[in-house]
Amino acid sequence: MGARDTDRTILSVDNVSVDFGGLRALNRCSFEVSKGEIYSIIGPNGAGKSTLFNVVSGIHRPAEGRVLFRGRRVDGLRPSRISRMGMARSFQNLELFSGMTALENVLAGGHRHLGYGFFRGLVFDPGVRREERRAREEARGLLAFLGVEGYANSPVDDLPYGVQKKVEIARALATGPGVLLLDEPAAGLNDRETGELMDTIHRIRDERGVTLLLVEHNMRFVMGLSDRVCVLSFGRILAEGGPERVRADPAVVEAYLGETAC
Amino acid sequence: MTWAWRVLLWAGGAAGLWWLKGTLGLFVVNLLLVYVVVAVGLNVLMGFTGQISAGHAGFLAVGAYVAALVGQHAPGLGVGWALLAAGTVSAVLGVVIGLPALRLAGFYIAMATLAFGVVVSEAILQLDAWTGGADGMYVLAPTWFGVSLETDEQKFWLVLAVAVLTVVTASNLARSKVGRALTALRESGVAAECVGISTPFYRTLAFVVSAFYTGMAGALFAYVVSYISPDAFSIELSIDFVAMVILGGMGSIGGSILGAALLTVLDQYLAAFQDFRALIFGLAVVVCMIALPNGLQGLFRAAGARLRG
Ligand SMILES: Nc1ncnc2c1ncn2[C@@H]1O[C@H](COP(=O)(O)OP(=O)(O)OP(=O)(O)O)[C@@H](O)[C@H]1O
Ligand SMILES: [Mg+2]
Repeated sequence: MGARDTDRTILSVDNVSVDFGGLRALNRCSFEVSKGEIYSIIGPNGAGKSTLFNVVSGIHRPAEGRVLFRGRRVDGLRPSRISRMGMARSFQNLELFSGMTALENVLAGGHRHLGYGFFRGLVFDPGVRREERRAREEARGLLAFLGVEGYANSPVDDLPYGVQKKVEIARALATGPGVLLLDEPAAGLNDRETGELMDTIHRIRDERGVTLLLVEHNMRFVMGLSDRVCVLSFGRILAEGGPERVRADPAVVEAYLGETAC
Repeated sequence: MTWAWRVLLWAGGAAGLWWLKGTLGLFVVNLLLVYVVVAVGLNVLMGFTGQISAGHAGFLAVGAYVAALVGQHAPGLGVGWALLAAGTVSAVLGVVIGLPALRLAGFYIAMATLAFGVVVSEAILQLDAWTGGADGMYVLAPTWFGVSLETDEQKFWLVLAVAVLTVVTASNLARSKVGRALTALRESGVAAECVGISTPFYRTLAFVVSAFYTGMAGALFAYVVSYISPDAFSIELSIDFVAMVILGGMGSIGGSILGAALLTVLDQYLAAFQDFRALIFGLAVVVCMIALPNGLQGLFRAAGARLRG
Protein backbone atom coordinates (compact mmCIF):
# COMPACT_ATOMS: atom_id res chain seq x y z
CA MET A 1 0.00 0.00 0.00
CA GLY A 2 1.69 3.21 -1.16
CA ALA A 3 1.51 6.60 0.52
CA ARG A 4 -0.80 7.98 -2.12
CA ASP A 5 -3.10 5.05 -1.58
CA THR A 6 -3.43 5.69 2.14
CA ASP A 7 -4.24 9.29 1.37
CA ARG A 8 -7.25 8.29 -0.64
CA THR A 9 -8.34 5.37 1.51
CA ILE A 10 -10.89 6.42 4.10
CA LEU A 11 -11.87 2.99 5.38
CA SER A 12 -9.95 -0.21 5.36
CA VAL A 13 -11.10 -3.58 6.58
CA ASP A 14 -8.10 -5.80 7.06
CA ASN A 15 -8.38 -9.56 7.47
CA VAL A 16 -11.50 -9.31 9.65
CA SER A 17 -13.28 -12.35 11.06
CA VAL A 18 -16.37 -12.44 13.28
CA ASP A 19 -17.62 -15.47 15.20
CA PHE A 20 -21.02 -16.03 16.72
CA GLY A 21 -20.51 -19.03 18.95
CA GLY A 22 -19.52 -21.74 16.51
CA LEU A 23 -20.65 -19.78 13.45
CA ARG A 24 -18.03 -17.85 11.51
CA ALA A 25 -20.12 -15.00 10.08
CA LEU A 26 -17.11 -13.27 8.49
CA ASN A 27 -13.94 -15.00 7.42
CA ARG A 28 -10.76 -12.98 6.83
CA CYS A 29 -12.41 -10.20 4.88
CA SER A 30 -10.25 -7.41 3.49
CA PHE A 31 -11.15 -4.44 1.34
CA GLU A 32 -10.56 -0.72 1.12
CA VAL A 33 -12.89 2.12 0.35
CA SER A 34 -11.63 5.37 -1.16
CA LYS A 35 -12.83 8.83 -0.30
CA GLY A 36 -15.87 9.84 -2.34
CA GLU A 37 -16.57 6.35 -3.56
CA ILE A 38 -19.90 4.53 -3.68
CA TYR A 39 -18.97 1.03 -2.62
CA SER A 40 -21.56 -1.74 -2.50
CA ILE A 41 -21.58 -5.06 -0.75
CA ILE A 42 -23.83 -7.72 -2.21
CA GLY A 43 -24.39 -11.36 -1.40
CA PRO A 44 -27.10 -13.87 -0.57
CA ASN A 45 -29.11 -13.79 2.67
CA GLY A 46 -26.99 -14.62 5.68
CA ALA A 47 -23.75 -13.90 3.83
CA GLY A 48 -22.54 -11.57 6.58
CA LYS A 49 -23.24 -8.17 5.05
CA SER A 50 -24.97 -6.67 8.08
CA THR A 51 -22.36 -8.25 10.31
CA LEU A 52 -19.72 -6.44 8.30
CA PHE A 53 -21.53 -3.13 8.90
CA ASN A 54 -21.79 -3.96 12.58
CA VAL A 55 -18.05 -4.54 12.82
CA VAL A 56 -17.21 -1.37 10.95
CA SER A 57 -19.57 0.75 13.07
CA GLY A 58 -18.32 -0.80 16.31
CA ILE A 59 -21.37 -2.82 17.34
CA HIS A 60 -19.45 -6.09 17.00
CA ARG A 61 -15.84 -6.71 17.83
CA PRO A 62 -13.90 -8.76 15.29
CA ALA A 63 -12.34 -12.04 16.43
CA GLU A 64 -9.30 -11.15 14.36
CA GLY A 65 -8.19 -8.44 11.98
CA ARG A 66 -8.36 -4.66 12.06
CA VAL A 67 -10.63 -1.88 10.93
CA LEU A 68 -9.01 1.44 10.06
CA PHE A 69 -11.05 4.58 9.65
CA ARG A 70 -9.24 7.70 8.48
CA GLY A 71 -5.98 5.94 9.24
CA ARG A 72 -6.91 5.18 12.85
CA ARG A 73 -7.75 1.82 14.29
CA VAL A 74 -11.40 1.69 15.34
CA ASP A 75 -12.09 -1.98 16.03
CA GLY A 76 -12.77 -2.33 19.74
CA LEU A 77 -13.96 1.27 20.10
CA ARG A 78 -17.52 2.05 21.21
CA PRO A 79 -19.92 2.88 18.35
CA SER A 80 -20.36 6.36 19.84
CA ARG A 81 -16.61 7.02 19.53
CA ILE A 82 -16.55 5.83 15.94
CA SER A 83 -19.63 7.92 15.18
CA ARG A 84 -17.92 11.02 16.54
CA MET A 85 -14.97 10.31 14.23
CA GLY A 86 -17.37 10.67 11.30
CA MET A 87 -19.08 7.39 10.60
CA ALA A 88 -22.85 7.13 10.35
CA ARG A 89 -25.24 4.35 9.39
CA SER A 90 -28.79 3.23 8.85
CA PHE A 91 -30.20 -0.10 9.93
CA GLN A 92 -31.69 -2.95 7.95
CA ASN A 93 -34.66 -3.09 10.33
CA LEU A 94 -35.25 0.56 11.14
CA GLU A 95 -33.96 1.76 14.49
CA LEU A 96 -35.76 5.07 14.80
CA PHE A 97 -36.36 6.66 18.19
CA SER A 98 -40.06 5.99 18.52
CA GLY A 99 -42.07 8.38 20.62
CA MET A 100 -40.11 11.24 19.05
CA THR A 101 -41.09 13.26 16.01
CA ALA A 102 -39.16 13.01 12.75
CA LEU A 103 -37.51 16.34 13.54
CA GLU A 104 -36.49 15.23 17.03
CA ASN A 105 -34.94 12.09 15.56
CA VAL A 106 -32.80 14.22 13.29
CA LEU A 107 -32.00 16.59 16.18
CA ALA A 108 -30.79 13.61 18.20
CA GLY A 109 -28.57 12.77 15.24
CA GLY A 110 -27.02 16.23 15.49
CA HIS A 111 -26.29 15.68 19.18
CA ARG A 112 -22.54 16.16 19.00
CA HIS A 113 -22.78 19.44 17.09
CA LEU A 114 -24.54 21.20 19.94
CA GLY A 115 -21.76 22.90 21.83
CA TYR A 116 -23.47 23.77 25.12
CA GLY A 117 -22.88 21.60 28.18
CA PHE A 118 -25.07 19.97 30.78
CA PHE A 119 -25.28 22.94 33.16
CA ARG A 120 -26.16 25.43 30.46
CA GLY A 121 -28.84 22.97 29.38
CA LEU A 122 -30.34 23.21 32.88
CA VAL A 123 -30.43 27.00 32.67
CA PHE A 124 -31.40 27.14 29.00
CA ASP A 125 -29.89 30.61 28.58
CA PRO A 126 -30.39 32.63 25.38
CA GLY A 127 -27.20 31.15 23.90
CA VAL A 128 -28.62 27.65 24.29
CA ARG A 129 -31.91 28.83 22.81
CA ARG A 130 -30.05 30.20 19.78
CA GLU A 131 -28.08 26.99 19.32
CA GLU A 132 -31.23 24.89 19.58
CA ARG A 133 -33.00 27.07 17.04
CA ARG A 134 -30.09 26.75 14.62
CA ALA A 135 -30.00 22.96 15.13
CA ARG A 136 -33.71 22.81 14.39
CA GLU A 137 -33.23 24.74 11.17
CA GLU A 138 -30.45 22.40 10.12
CA ALA A 139 -32.52 19.33 10.97
CA ARG A 140 -35.40 20.75 8.94
CA GLY A 141 -32.97 21.37 6.10
CA LEU A 142 -31.87 17.74 6.17
CA LEU A 143 -35.47 16.53 6.08
CA ALA A 144 -35.99 18.85 3.12
CA PHE A 145 -32.84 17.45 1.47
CA LEU A 146 -34.51 14.04 1.62
CA GLY A 147 -37.86 15.47 0.53
CA VAL A 148 -39.75 14.71 3.74
CA GLU A 149 -39.83 18.09 5.53
CA GLY A 150 -43.62 17.92 5.49
CA TYR A 151 -43.45 15.19 8.12
CA ALA A 152 -41.13 17.07 10.49
CA ASN A 153 -43.57 17.29 13.37
CA SER A 154 -45.23 13.90 12.97
CA PRO A 155 -44.36 11.13 15.42
CA VAL A 156 -42.04 8.78 13.49
CA ASP A 157 -44.11 5.74 14.38
CA ASP A 158 -47.04 7.11 12.37
CA LEU A 159 -45.05 7.64 9.16
CA PRO A 160 -45.14 5.40 6.07
CA TYR A 161 -42.23 2.99 5.76
CA GLY A 162 -40.57 4.83 2.90
CA VAL A 163 -40.63 8.10 4.85
CA GLN A 164 -39.23 6.41 7.96
CA LYS A 165 -36.29 5.18 5.91
CA LYS A 166 -35.61 8.71 4.73
CA VAL A 167 -35.83 10.07 8.26
CA GLU A 168 -33.26 7.51 9.31
CA ILE A 169 -30.91 8.67 6.55
CA ALA A 170 -31.49 12.30 7.57
CA ARG A 171 -30.66 11.39 11.16
CA ALA A 172 -27.43 9.71 10.02
CA LEU A 173 -26.50 12.76 7.93
CA ALA A 174 -27.12 15.01 10.93
CA THR A 175 -24.06 13.50 12.60
CA GLY A 176 -22.00 15.12 9.83
CA PRO A 177 -20.40 11.90 8.59
CA GLY A 178 -17.47 11.35 6.25
CA VAL A 179 -18.66 7.80 5.61
CA LEU A 180 -22.26 6.68 5.52
CA LEU A 181 -23.27 3.02 5.71
CA LEU A 182 -26.74 2.18 4.37
CA ASP A 183 -28.04 -1.33 5.02
CA GLU A 184 -30.57 -2.27 2.33
CA PRO A 185 -31.88 1.27 1.76
CA ALA A 186 -34.04 0.23 -1.20
CA ALA A 187 -35.72 -2.75 0.47
CA GLY A 188 -39.48 -2.26 0.58
CA LEU A 189 -39.44 0.75 -1.75
CA ASN A 190 -41.35 0.81 -5.05
CA ASP A 191 -39.66 1.57 -8.39
CA ARG A 192 -40.30 5.30 -8.23
CA GLU A 193 -39.02 5.54 -4.66
CA THR A 194 -35.97 3.47 -5.60
CA GLY A 195 -35.21 5.85 -8.45
CA GLU A 196 -35.50 8.82 -6.10
CA LEU A 197 -33.24 7.12 -3.61
CA MET A 198 -30.54 6.59 -6.24
CA ASP A 199 -30.72 10.28 -6.99
CA THR A 200 -30.52 11.12 -3.29
CA ILE A 201 -27.47 8.92 -2.82
CA HIS A 202 -25.71 10.67 -5.67
CA ARG A 203 -26.53 14.01 -4.09
CA ILE A 204 -25.24 12.85 -0.70
CA ARG A 205 -21.94 12.02 -2.33
CA ASP A 206 -21.70 14.98 -4.69
CA GLU A 207 -23.11 17.81 -2.56
CA ARG A 208 -21.89 16.66 0.83
CA GLY A 209 -18.73 14.82 -0.10
CA VAL A 210 -19.80 11.73 1.82
CA THR A 211 -18.31 8.32 1.01
CA LEU A 212 -21.00 5.64 0.79
CA LEU A 213 -21.04 1.99 1.69
CA LEU A 214 -24.19 0.21 0.62
CA VAL A 215 -25.63 -3.21 1.25
CA GLU A 216 -28.39 -3.94 -1.22
CA HIS A 217 -30.15 -6.82 -2.95
CA ASN A 218 -31.68 -4.76 -5.74
CA MET A 219 -29.25 -5.34 -8.64
CA ARG A 220 -30.45 -2.50 -10.83
CA PHE A 221 -29.84 -0.19 -7.91
CA VAL A 222 -26.39 -1.59 -7.12
CA MET A 223 -25.16 -1.78 -10.70
CA GLY A 224 -26.47 1.67 -11.55
CA LEU A 225 -24.98 3.38 -8.55
CA SER A 226 -21.75 1.76 -7.46
CA ASP A 227 -18.20 2.62 -8.36
CA ARG A 228 -17.13 -0.75 -7.04
CA VAL A 229 -18.93 -3.83 -5.81
CA CYS A 230 -17.81 -6.47 -3.37
CA VAL A 231 -19.44 -9.89 -3.33
CA LEU A 232 -19.77 -11.69 -0.03
CA SER A 233 -20.87 -15.29 0.37
CA PHE A 234 -20.75 -17.38 3.53
CA GLY A 235 -18.59 -14.77 5.19
CA ARG A 236 -15.96 -14.69 2.46
CA ILE A 237 -15.26 -12.13 -0.23
CA LEU A 238 -15.70 -13.83 -3.59
CA ALA A 239 -14.94 -10.94 -5.90
CA GLU A 240 -14.46 -7.22 -5.96
CA GLY A 241 -14.34 -4.65 -8.73
CA GLY A 242 -16.39 -2.49 -11.06
CA PRO A 243 -20.04 -3.51 -11.54
CA GLU A 244 -19.50 -5.00 -15.02
CA ARG A 245 -16.50 -7.03 -13.98
CA VAL A 246 -18.25 -8.43 -10.93
CA ARG A 247 -21.35 -9.23 -12.91
CA ALA A 248 -19.26 -11.25 -15.36
CA ASP A 249 -17.19 -13.10 -12.76
CA PRO A 250 -18.00 -16.82 -13.08
CA ALA A 251 -17.65 -17.52 -9.35
CA VAL A 252 -20.12 -14.74 -8.61
CA VAL A 253 -22.57 -15.89 -11.22
CA GLU A 254 -22.52 -19.33 -9.67
CA ALA A 255 -22.76 -18.25 -6.05
CA TYR A 256 -25.17 -15.41 -6.26
CA LEU A 257 -26.21 -13.69 -9.42
CA GLY A 258 -27.10 -16.95 -11.14
CA GLU A 259 -29.78 -17.77 -8.63
CA THR A 260 -31.42 -14.36 -8.56
CA ALA A 261 -31.14 -13.60 -12.27
CA CYS A 262 -33.67 -16.24 -13.25
CA MET B 1 -47.06 25.47 25.21
CA THR B 2 -48.11 29.08 24.96
CA TRP B 3 -47.37 31.67 27.61
CA ALA B 4 -51.02 31.94 28.56
CA TRP B 5 -51.19 28.22 29.27
CA ARG B 6 -48.03 28.31 31.31
CA VAL B 7 -49.24 31.20 33.46
CA LEU B 8 -52.56 29.39 33.92
CA LEU B 9 -50.83 26.19 35.05
CA TRP B 10 -48.58 27.96 37.56
CA ALA B 11 -51.57 29.91 38.86
CA GLY B 12 -53.55 26.70 39.16
CA GLY B 13 -50.69 25.15 41.13
CA ALA B 14 -50.56 28.11 43.48
CA ALA B 15 -54.32 27.98 44.02
CA GLY B 16 -54.11 24.25 44.70
CA LEU B 17 -51.41 24.77 47.32
CA TRP B 18 -53.47 27.54 48.94
CA TRP B 19 -56.47 25.24 49.17
CA LEU B 20 -54.37 22.38 50.61
CA LYS B 21 -52.91 24.71 53.21
CA GLY B 22 -56.42 25.51 54.35
CA THR B 23 -57.63 21.91 54.51
CA LEU B 24 -54.58 19.85 55.50
CA GLY B 25 -52.20 22.44 56.89
CA LEU B 26 -48.86 23.82 55.84
CA PHE B 27 -46.89 20.84 57.09
CA VAL B 28 -48.59 18.58 54.52
CA VAL B 29 -48.06 21.19 51.82
CA ASN B 30 -44.35 21.24 52.64
CA LEU B 31 -44.17 17.47 52.51
CA LEU B 32 -46.01 17.48 49.21
CA LEU B 33 -43.49 19.89 47.72
CA VAL B 34 -40.60 17.73 48.94
CA TYR B 35 -42.18 14.76 47.20
CA VAL B 36 -42.59 16.82 44.05
CA VAL B 37 -38.81 17.22 44.02
CA VAL B 38 -38.34 13.48 44.54
CA ALA B 39 -40.87 12.49 41.89
CA VAL B 40 -39.38 14.86 39.31
CA GLY B 41 -35.90 13.58 40.18
CA LEU B 42 -36.97 9.95 39.91
CA ASN B 43 -38.70 10.71 36.64
CA VAL B 44 -35.39 11.86 35.14
CA LEU B 45 -34.24 8.29 35.67
CA MET B 46 -37.43 6.32 35.10
CA GLY B 47 -39.20 8.42 32.54
CA PHE B 48 -36.29 9.62 30.43
CA THR B 49 -34.11 6.52 30.45
CA GLY B 50 -36.63 3.80 31.31
CA GLN B 51 -34.53 2.49 34.20
CA ILE B 52 -36.54 1.79 37.33
CA SER B 53 -35.22 2.59 40.79
CA ALA B 54 -36.80 0.85 43.76
CA GLY B 55 -34.40 2.46 46.19
CA HIS B 56 -34.86 6.20 45.99
CA ALA B 57 -35.75 6.40 49.68
CA GLY B 58 -32.06 5.57 50.10
CA PHE B 59 -31.00 8.75 48.30
CA LEU B 60 -33.61 10.67 50.31
CA ALA B 61 -32.12 9.27 53.53
CA VAL B 62 -28.59 10.19 52.49
CA GLY B 63 -29.63 13.78 51.80
CA ALA B 64 -31.60 13.98 55.05
CA TYR B 65 -28.69 12.75 57.17
CA VAL B 66 -26.19 14.98 55.42
CA ALA B 67 -28.43 17.96 56.21
CA ALA B 68 -28.83 16.84 59.82
CA LEU B 69 -25.08 16.34 60.22
CA VAL B 70 -24.29 19.67 58.58
CA GLY B 71 -26.74 21.32 60.98
CA GLN B 72 -25.06 19.65 63.93
CA HIS B 73 -21.40 20.14 63.00
CA ALA B 74 -21.52 23.33 60.92
CA PRO B 75 -24.56 25.17 62.25
CA GLY B 76 -23.61 28.49 60.69
CA LEU B 77 -23.54 27.13 57.15
CA GLY B 78 -26.19 28.63 54.87
CA VAL B 79 -29.05 26.50 53.65
CA GLY B 80 -27.86 26.75 50.05
CA TRP B 81 -24.58 25.07 50.93
CA ALA B 82 -26.32 22.44 53.03
CA LEU B 83 -28.61 21.56 50.12
CA LEU B 84 -25.66 21.46 47.76
CA ALA B 85 -23.80 19.14 50.14
CA ALA B 86 -26.84 16.84 50.49
CA GLY B 87 -27.33 16.71 46.73
CA THR B 88 -23.65 16.16 46.02
CA VAL B 89 -23.13 13.30 48.46
CA SER B 90 -26.25 11.66 47.09
CA ALA B 91 -25.05 12.24 43.51
CA VAL B 92 -21.72 10.58 44.29
CA LEU B 93 -23.65 7.56 45.52
CA GLY B 94 -25.63 7.84 42.28
CA VAL B 95 -22.37 7.19 40.39
CA VAL B 96 -21.65 4.24 42.66
CA ILE B 97 -25.06 2.74 41.85
CA GLY B 98 -25.18 3.94 38.25
CA LEU B 99 -21.91 2.38 37.12
CA PRO B 100 -22.72 -1.23 38.01
CA ALA B 101 -26.29 -0.69 36.79
CA LEU B 102 -24.81 -0.17 33.31
CA ARG B 103 -24.18 -3.87 33.13
CA LEU B 104 -27.67 -4.79 34.25
CA ALA B 105 -30.97 -5.13 32.44
CA GLY B 106 -34.21 -3.55 33.71
CA PHE B 107 -35.34 -6.07 36.30
CA TYR B 108 -31.88 -6.44 37.81
CA ILE B 109 -31.52 -2.67 38.09
CA ALA B 110 -34.72 -2.69 40.12
CA MET B 111 -33.23 -5.35 42.39
CA ALA B 112 -29.89 -3.54 42.72
CA THR B 113 -31.55 -0.25 43.64
CA LEU B 114 -33.86 -2.02 46.07
CA ALA B 115 -30.76 -3.46 47.73
CA PHE B 116 -29.22 0.01 47.81
CA GLY B 117 -32.18 1.31 49.79
CA VAL B 118 -31.78 -1.48 52.32
CA VAL B 119 -28.01 -0.95 52.57
CA VAL B 120 -28.49 2.75 53.32
CA SER B 121 -30.92 2.00 56.18
CA GLU B 122 -28.51 -0.58 57.54
CA ALA B 123 -25.56 1.79 57.25
CA ILE B 124 -27.45 4.48 59.19
CA LEU B 125 -28.10 1.95 61.96
CA GLN B 126 -24.46 0.85 62.03
CA LEU B 127 -23.00 4.36 62.01
CA ASP B 128 -24.83 5.20 65.23
CA ALA B 129 -21.94 7.28 66.54
CA TRP B 130 -22.90 9.90 63.98
CA THR B 131 -26.50 9.11 63.14
CA GLY B 132 -27.84 8.04 66.51
CA GLY B 133 -28.75 4.66 64.99
CA ALA B 134 -32.34 3.57 65.56
CA ASP B 135 -32.90 6.49 67.95
CA GLY B 136 -32.71 8.87 65.03
CA MET B 137 -31.58 12.47 65.17
CA TYR B 138 -33.04 15.91 65.53
CA VAL B 139 -32.51 18.29 62.66
CA LEU B 140 -31.56 21.89 63.34
CA ALA B 141 -33.47 24.49 61.38
CA PRO B 142 -31.56 25.72 58.33
CA THR B 143 -30.24 29.27 58.19
CA TRP B 144 -30.67 31.74 55.34
CA PHE B 145 -28.21 34.65 55.63
CA GLY B 146 -28.18 34.36 59.40
CA VAL B 147 -31.97 33.94 59.71
CA SER B 148 -33.00 30.59 61.14
CA LEU B 149 -35.94 29.10 59.22
CA GLU B 150 -37.93 27.76 62.16
CA THR B 151 -41.60 28.01 61.30
CA ASP B 152 -43.55 25.94 58.81
CA GLU B 153 -44.17 29.09 56.85
CA GLN B 154 -40.48 29.93 56.55
CA LYS B 155 -39.79 26.36 55.53
CA PHE B 156 -42.62 26.59 53.01
CA TRP B 157 -40.85 29.35 51.10
CA LEU B 158 -37.62 27.37 51.12
CA VAL B 159 -39.25 24.16 49.90
CA LEU B 160 -41.32 26.01 47.34
CA ALA B 161 -38.22 27.73 45.95
CA VAL B 162 -36.38 24.43 45.57
CA ALA B 163 -39.42 22.72 44.06
CA VAL B 164 -39.83 25.48 41.48
CA LEU B 165 -36.12 25.38 40.71
CA THR B 166 -36.33 21.61 40.29
CA VAL B 167 -39.31 21.77 37.96
CA VAL B 168 -37.75 24.51 35.85
CA THR B 169 -34.30 22.91 35.55
CA ALA B 170 -35.70 19.43 34.89
CA SER B 171 -37.98 20.82 32.17
CA ASN B 172 -35.01 22.58 30.62
CA LEU B 173 -33.01 19.39 30.82
CA ALA B 174 -35.82 17.51 29.08
CA ARG B 175 -35.81 19.85 26.07
CA SER B 176 -32.03 20.16 25.91
CA LYS B 177 -29.72 17.82 24.04
CA VAL B 178 -29.29 15.83 27.26
CA GLY B 179 -33.01 15.04 27.48
CA ARG B 180 -33.04 14.01 23.83
CA ALA B 181 -29.98 11.81 24.33
CA LEU B 182 -31.59 10.05 27.29
CA THR B 183 -34.85 9.46 25.41
CA ALA B 184 -32.90 8.26 22.37
CA LEU B 185 -31.02 5.76 24.53
CA ARG B 186 -34.29 4.49 25.97
CA GLU B 187 -35.81 3.98 22.52
CA SER B 188 -32.82 2.39 20.79
CA GLY B 189 -29.47 1.89 22.44
CA VAL B 190 -27.65 0.90 19.24
CA ALA B 191 -29.05 3.75 17.20
CA ALA B 192 -28.20 6.24 19.94
CA GLU B 193 -24.63 4.94 20.10
CA CYS B 194 -24.39 5.16 16.32
CA VAL B 195 -25.21 8.88 16.40
CA GLY B 196 -22.48 9.47 18.98
CA ILE B 197 -24.47 9.25 22.23
CA SER B 198 -22.39 7.36 24.76
CA THR B 199 -24.48 4.83 26.68
CA PRO B 200 -22.32 4.61 29.83
CA PHE B 201 -21.97 8.40 30.09
CA TYR B 202 -25.64 9.26 29.74
CA ARG B 203 -27.03 6.36 31.73
CA THR B 204 -24.71 7.22 34.61
CA LEU B 205 -25.57 10.90 34.24
CA ALA B 206 -29.27 10.06 34.61
CA PHE B 207 -28.54 8.29 37.88
CA VAL B 208 -26.42 11.17 39.11
CA VAL B 209 -28.97 13.87 38.28
CA SER B 210 -31.78 11.83 39.78
CA ALA B 211 -29.76 11.19 42.94
CA PHE B 212 -28.83 14.88 43.22
CA TYR B 213 -32.45 16.06 43.14
CA THR B 214 -33.50 13.34 45.56
CA GLY B 215 -30.62 14.10 47.93
CA MET B 216 -31.65 17.74 47.98
CA ALA B 217 -35.21 16.66 48.64
CA GLY B 218 -33.86 14.57 51.52
CA ALA B 219 -32.38 17.68 53.13
CA LEU B 220 -35.70 19.49 52.73
CA PHE B 221 -37.51 16.48 54.16
CA ALA B 222 -35.23 16.59 57.21
CA TYR B 223 -35.96 20.31 57.73
CA VAL B 224 -39.70 19.82 57.31
CA VAL B 225 -40.10 16.90 59.73
CA SER B 226 -37.18 18.07 61.98
CA TYR B 227 -36.59 14.58 63.33
CA ILE B 228 -35.33 11.65 61.25
CA SER B 229 -34.74 7.97 61.88
CA PRO B 230 -33.94 5.04 59.56
CA ASP B 231 -37.49 3.68 59.54
CA ALA B 232 -38.71 6.89 57.87
CA PHE B 233 -36.88 5.73 54.71
CA SER B 234 -38.46 2.35 54.14
CA ILE B 235 -38.86 0.28 51.01
CA GLU B 236 -42.54 1.28 51.06
CA LEU B 237 -41.50 4.90 50.62
CA SER B 238 -39.36 3.96 47.62
CA ILE B 239 -42.33 2.17 46.12
CA ASP B 240 -44.54 5.20 46.80
CA PHE B 241 -42.09 7.30 44.77
CA VAL B 242 -42.27 4.85 41.88
CA ALA B 243 -46.07 5.00 42.14
CA MET B 244 -45.99 8.81 41.98
CA VAL B 245 -44.05 8.72 38.72
CA ILE B 246 -46.18 5.99 37.15
CA LEU B 247 -49.49 7.55 38.28
CA GLY B 248 -48.43 10.93 36.99
CA GLY B 249 -47.14 9.61 33.70
CA MET B 250 -43.63 8.39 32.87
CA GLY B 251 -41.47 11.07 31.33
CA SER B 252 -43.84 13.94 32.11
CA ILE B 253 -42.69 16.49 34.64
CA GLY B 254 -46.19 17.91 35.05
CA GLY B 255 -47.32 14.35 35.63
CA SER B 256 -44.77 13.85 38.40
CA ILE B 257 -46.09 16.94 40.16
CA LEU B 258 -49.64 15.60 39.94
CA GLY B 259 -48.57 12.13 41.04
CA ALA B 260 -46.70 13.46 44.06
CA ALA B 261 -49.62 15.71 45.01
CA LEU B 262 -52.23 12.99 44.62
CA LEU B 263 -50.39 10.37 46.66
CA THR B 264 -49.48 12.82 49.41
CA VAL B 265 -53.08 13.97 49.79
CA LEU B 266 -54.43 10.43 49.47
CA ASP B 267 -52.01 9.36 52.17
CA GLN B 268 -53.48 11.94 54.56
CA TYR B 269 -57.02 10.73 54.01
CA LEU B 270 -55.95 7.11 54.31
CA ALA B 271 -54.08 7.70 57.57
CA ALA B 272 -57.10 6.33 59.43
CA PHE B 273 -56.96 3.09 57.46
CA GLN B 274 -53.25 2.30 57.81
CA ASP B 275 -53.83 -1.41 57.18
CA PHE B 276 -55.46 -0.81 53.82
CA ARG B 277 -53.10 1.89 52.68
CA ALA B 278 -50.70 -0.41 50.82
CA LEU B 279 -53.65 -2.24 49.28
CA ILE B 280 -55.28 0.95 48.04
CA PHE B 281 -52.02 2.39 46.71
CA GLY B 282 -51.22 -0.87 44.98
CA LEU B 283 -54.66 -1.05 43.39
CA ALA B 284 -54.44 2.59 42.31
CA VAL B 285 -51.15 1.91 40.53
CA VAL B 286 -52.38 -1.26 38.83
CA VAL B 287 -55.62 0.37 37.70
CA CYS B 288 -53.69 3.38 36.50
CA MET B 289 -51.23 1.31 34.49
CA ILE B 290 -54.08 -0.52 32.78
CA ALA B 291 -56.56 2.32 32.32
CA LEU B 292 -54.19 5.27 31.90
CA PRO B 293 -51.03 4.15 30.14
CA ASN B 294 -49.83 7.76 30.04
CA GLY B 295 -50.81 8.50 33.63
CA LEU B 296 -52.75 11.51 34.90
CA GLN B 297 -50.79 13.69 32.53
CA GLY B 298 -52.17 11.70 29.59
CA LEU B 299 -55.70 12.04 30.95
CA PHE B 300 -55.37 15.83 31.22
CA ARG B 301 -53.85 16.07 27.79
CA ALA B 302 -56.66 14.05 26.23
CA ALA B 303 -59.25 16.17 28.03
CA GLY B 304 -57.50 19.33 26.82
CA ALA B 305 -57.47 18.05 23.25
CA ARG B 306 -61.20 17.30 23.45
CA LEU B 307 -61.96 20.78 24.84
CA ARG B 308 -60.10 22.40 21.97
CA GLY B 309 -62.13 20.23 19.60
N1 LIG C 1 -26.02 -11.28 16.80
C1 LIG C 1 -25.91 -12.48 16.18
N2 LIG C 1 -25.81 -13.63 16.90
C2 LIG C 1 -25.70 -14.83 16.29
N3 LIG C 1 -25.66 -14.99 14.98
C3 LIG C 1 -25.76 -13.90 14.19
C4 LIG C 1 -25.89 -12.60 14.76
N4 LIG C 1 -25.97 -11.70 13.74
C5 LIG C 1 -25.90 -12.43 12.60
N5 LIG C 1 -25.77 -13.75 12.87
C6 LIG C 1 -25.61 -14.80 11.86
O1 LIG C 1 -24.52 -14.44 11.05
C7 LIG C 1 -24.78 -14.74 9.69
C8 LIG C 1 -24.65 -13.47 8.87
O2 LIG C 1 -25.74 -12.63 9.19
P1 LIG C 1 -25.95 -11.17 8.56
O3 LIG C 1 -27.09 -10.55 9.25
O4 LIG C 1 -24.66 -10.46 8.58
O5 LIG C 1 -26.33 -11.55 7.08
P2 LIG C 1 -26.73 -10.58 5.89
O6 LIG C 1 -25.73 -10.82 4.81
O7 LIG C 1 -26.90 -9.21 6.36
O8 LIG C 1 -28.11 -11.21 5.44
P3 LIG C 1 -29.46 -10.49 4.90
O9 LIG C 1 -29.29 -10.25 3.46
O10 LIG C 1 -30.51 -11.47 5.19
O11 LIG C 1 -29.61 -9.23 5.70
C9 LIG C 1 -26.16 -15.36 9.65
O12 LIG C 1 -26.01 -16.76 9.63
C10 LIG C 1 -26.80 -14.90 10.93
O13 LIG C 1 -27.73 -15.86 11.38
MG1 LIG D 1 -28.47 -7.92 6.58
